[in-house]
Amino acid sequence: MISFPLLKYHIRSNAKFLLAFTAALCLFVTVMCNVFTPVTLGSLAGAAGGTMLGDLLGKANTLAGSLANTFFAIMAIIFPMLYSILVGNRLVAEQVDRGTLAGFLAAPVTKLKYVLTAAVYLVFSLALMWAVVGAVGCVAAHAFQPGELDVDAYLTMVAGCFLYHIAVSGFCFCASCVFNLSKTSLGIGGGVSLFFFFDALLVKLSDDLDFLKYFTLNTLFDTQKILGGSGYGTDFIILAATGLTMYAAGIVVFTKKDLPV
Amino acid sequence: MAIIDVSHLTKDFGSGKGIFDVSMQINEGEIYGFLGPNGAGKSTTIRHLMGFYRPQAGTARIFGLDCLKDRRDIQKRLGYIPGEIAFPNDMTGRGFLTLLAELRKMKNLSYMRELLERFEIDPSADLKRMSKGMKQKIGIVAAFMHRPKVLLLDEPTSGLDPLMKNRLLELAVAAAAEGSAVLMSSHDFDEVDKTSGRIGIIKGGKLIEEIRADDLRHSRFKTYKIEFSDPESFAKALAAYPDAKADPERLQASFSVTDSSINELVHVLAGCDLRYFKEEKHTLEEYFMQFYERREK
Repeated sequence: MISFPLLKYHIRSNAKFLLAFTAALCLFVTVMCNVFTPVTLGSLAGAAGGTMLGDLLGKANTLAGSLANTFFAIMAIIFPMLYSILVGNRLVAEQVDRGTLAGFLAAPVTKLKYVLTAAVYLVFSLALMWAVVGAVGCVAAHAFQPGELDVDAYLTMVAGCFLYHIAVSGFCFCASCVFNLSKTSLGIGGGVSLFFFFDALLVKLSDDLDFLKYFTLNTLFDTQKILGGSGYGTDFIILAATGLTMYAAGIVVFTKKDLPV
Repeated sequence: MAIIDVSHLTKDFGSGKGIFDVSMQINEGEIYGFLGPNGAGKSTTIRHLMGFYRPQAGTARIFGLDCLKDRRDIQKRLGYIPGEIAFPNDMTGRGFLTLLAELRKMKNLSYMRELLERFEIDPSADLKRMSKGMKQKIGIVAAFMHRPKVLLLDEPTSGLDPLMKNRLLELAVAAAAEGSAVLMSSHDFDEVDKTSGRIGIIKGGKLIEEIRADDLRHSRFKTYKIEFSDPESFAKALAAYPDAKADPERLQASFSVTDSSINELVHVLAGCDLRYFKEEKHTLEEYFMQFYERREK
């Protein structure tokens, strides 16, 4: 169903992006495991109390809770999102736009095989990214603050964040499959993803804007529910289903459309 | 049965763009020259044959297979040089050709190496840093290295120097001699003239004429531009050729004659004083206009 020579090409071609974004996430999670000791958590909450930052930080007093309100609220959302926007575009739309796709399709490779291989690369590279971040977080927490991290909660957040990014990358990938120009694919894929992020920020900032939660995927990755230990199952399923639907839609459109290459 | 069979193919992009009711058949061992100005529909026709476009009406078939549905089977025996060649930025020439060989499941790469030598290519260079001509040569190797039975060459000589142009044309002729069907598009009359048996002329998306290259060749006018030393010579020559395009102020005139009537012109000019005498190169369109004018008479 997929082409291994092409998969190998995508892996090599995008390795530097995967490496850079994964390394950045590992760095952040390591630093945070180092910084959020019980002492700093107490003083931070006191200093930020009543301010906007205080609202964003929430009332975290555990390491997992702090990671939920910082790492999983911002870095873990933004960095892989940028990866999906960038690489999602590179895998399909950029190949059409530049005309390099003609070279690959001048071999016995069907359009379906090409686009499936690209989708498999994107999904598995995100899985690898989160497997590494999950492992590094556990190791770092153990090294700096043995026994402080609720590993189950942390790994569940990692899994949830991965599913969230499957959904986001689904939108980016679909845009990449639908549009023939890089700039349109980047604009739509990136625009939708960033809209989700800022929409979710607004939801957090004011109760009056609560209705906005229906226009974003980010509220489906609810770290408070995960820390509470229940109620997140349905959200996870919706995230995965959204992602797979978007991937499937992109694949169908790509196999049917005309390719000006 | 024709290897390449395009029948009533139509794709309307709106505002007059596209191709309309194009039909052509190309047989085993034949080179078909596909001529037309830029934007006439050459690449659009070829993209249908590659299965990149879905026909609005009509069919495009190769080996009797549907170009869209049976793309994979056709591509095993097909070589393609795109009109605007583009390669991944992050590979070497060898890396790209090896990837293509893997996609085609080729075991034997000796012909690829032979072609690399014949076109004097250093495949270890980064594709990003290669000149346009060098990229074109990589594209040629990519299209020919699996000895395909069908070749779709979309302006294959663009960016090549005259020596490499000739090597490519020789390669196409050799492939046809071994039984391949070759479709070669161009806007350059001469390279099609050298190689093709039949020529299809496409203009505004319509295949307006299909002719044997020999017919065109024999109907060829050549145009000679002459500047005379004195008004008397100018008048004498124009009296013999009243149709010549003349510029009395500069004492210049252009005479269009076929090879068979060249002696008459020389005899007239023998009695004149000239400043210079040169043959004017024709554009493709002028050739065809002359061709049609002559046929209509």
